[in-house]
Amino acid sequence: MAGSAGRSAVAPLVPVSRRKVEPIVINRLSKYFGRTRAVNNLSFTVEPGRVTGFLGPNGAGKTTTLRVLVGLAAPTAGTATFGRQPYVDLLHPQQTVGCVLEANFHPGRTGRNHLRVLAATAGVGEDRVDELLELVGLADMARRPASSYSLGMRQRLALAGALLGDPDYLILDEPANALDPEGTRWLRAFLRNFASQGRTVLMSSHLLHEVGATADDIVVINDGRLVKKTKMADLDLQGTSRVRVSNIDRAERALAELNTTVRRGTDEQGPYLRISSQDTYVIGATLFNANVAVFELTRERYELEEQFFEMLKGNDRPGRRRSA
Amino acid sequence: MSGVLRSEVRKISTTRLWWIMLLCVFLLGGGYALVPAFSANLAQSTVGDPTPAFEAPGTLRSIYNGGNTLARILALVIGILAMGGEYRYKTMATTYLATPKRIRVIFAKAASLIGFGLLYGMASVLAGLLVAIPFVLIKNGSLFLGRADTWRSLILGVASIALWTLIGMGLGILVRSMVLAMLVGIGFAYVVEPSLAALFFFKEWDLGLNLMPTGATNAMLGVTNPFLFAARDPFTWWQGMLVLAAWCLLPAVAGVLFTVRRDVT
Repeated sequence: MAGSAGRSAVAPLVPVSRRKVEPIVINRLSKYFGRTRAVNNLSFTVEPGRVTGFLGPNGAGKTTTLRVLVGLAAPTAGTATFGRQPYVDLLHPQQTVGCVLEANFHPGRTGRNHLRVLAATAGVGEDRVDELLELVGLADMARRPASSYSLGMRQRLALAGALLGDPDYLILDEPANALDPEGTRWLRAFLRNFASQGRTVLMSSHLLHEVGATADDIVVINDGRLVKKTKMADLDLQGTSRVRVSNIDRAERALAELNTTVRRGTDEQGPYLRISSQDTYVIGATLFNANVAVFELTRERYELEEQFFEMLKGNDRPGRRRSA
Repeated sequence: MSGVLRSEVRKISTTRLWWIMLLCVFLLGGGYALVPAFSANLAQSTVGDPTPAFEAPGTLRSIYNGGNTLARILALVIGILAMGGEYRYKTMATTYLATPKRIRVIFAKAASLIGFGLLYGMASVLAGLLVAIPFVLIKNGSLFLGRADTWRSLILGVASIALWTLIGMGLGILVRSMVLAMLVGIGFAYVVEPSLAALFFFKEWDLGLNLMPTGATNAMLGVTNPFLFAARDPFTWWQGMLVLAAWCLLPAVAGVLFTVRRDVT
């Protein structure tokens, strides 16, 4: 899709500037499956005009929250609404909310016919169907049965279906899972453009770096509870440095005197220390004064995933990551 | 036509199954209609009945609706697939996202199935009509198309097929596994019901026969053939139609109450 359509978005049917897009409001939402508390008294809002990344490890309750939000599952308690309206009460659901949850299609139906089925309820015509097939780069495959589509193509068909009604909200569950790198780049640009028109994007992921480049806000949940909601810009994304030294204990003590956090790590080249500072002059001088030989001193890009897991585990060591 | 109905019609019309079924109903239904046609022909040649078979309106009616026994099974299957396919291919979520008021989906499915059911019913009756014509010509009989009861039988034959699609749909709603719903539906139609019908027939329990879907359909069509375990004292056509309608509603209502509201997984 990146090749054919580039970054151009489908022209909105109604100028978005004239619409008022309300925030998504998750209010004290709980969903239990038997004794399992998939979502537990969860509250947050998703602002219009922004891309919000919805993060958490697998099993954190992201998908359940999204499914309750769009009326596929009933909440045990609490509400999930678009402005004040639950999904079920939306007058024109497809013109209001586009959802890319799972990409499931009748295997014998062509991609184009799948969109025609959805176009009937969205109240749009065949030209809109063809326009979207073009946008997601499926025009050539439009008349082939969905069973012949690759995972990435199915994902793009699902996206086309979500966009048929020209919605104000776009909800995506792990969109990067099935997309190739090119498709992911295209999607990022598309979502940025979508949000810049004042519309709302909520996309879930279990990997921070997938949404890090796109999201304005992030909402992190774990075990069905809110861990953190923050603007991406407010995340403390300062870089780190890595040193390999002759005496790691002495180096650690010396660096602890600086106003930084120091962690030990080991990779294929052996043990190292990671310092939450990129001031290599101070680090180098400190180690020199501590009589430690420095074999390597490197500035590292910030570690998004590490930040993510810190949020989840409360400054735990990264070695004790919860397996996803 | 409302959007959700158009959407449901497109769901059926955009897969191959519907016209394969239509072809089956027409060709196999025609084959089924040959059975009463030949047996009437045989009876007329050997017994030397005082009123020749092809001059009896009842004989012609049984040929016209000869394909009904097959067409109703295929109608049942179409109905099961309309709902069961959504569970099977996990497209239910997409459907409910487009139409979150789920009962509207059910009504639209029912309406589209009635439409396709009428089409299958017409194919079945048309096949019966085409089978009857050569026999009538050869034996110098009549098609009895001037008679009201012939037309009633034709129209009710078409309507009964539409009702059978709804029985299938109800089953498809209630049983959320398509394969299981098919097994239950076809098993009931081919094993359970004929066994019960045979039992009721030999016990001469007409009410039991009349209350079965097949018995109700026989009553609707005015079929009196004892080989089909038809009741000796059948319901009138409209009573039969009511019983059949109840068979449509029973699983559908249970399904709407117990399974449609549940979370979509």
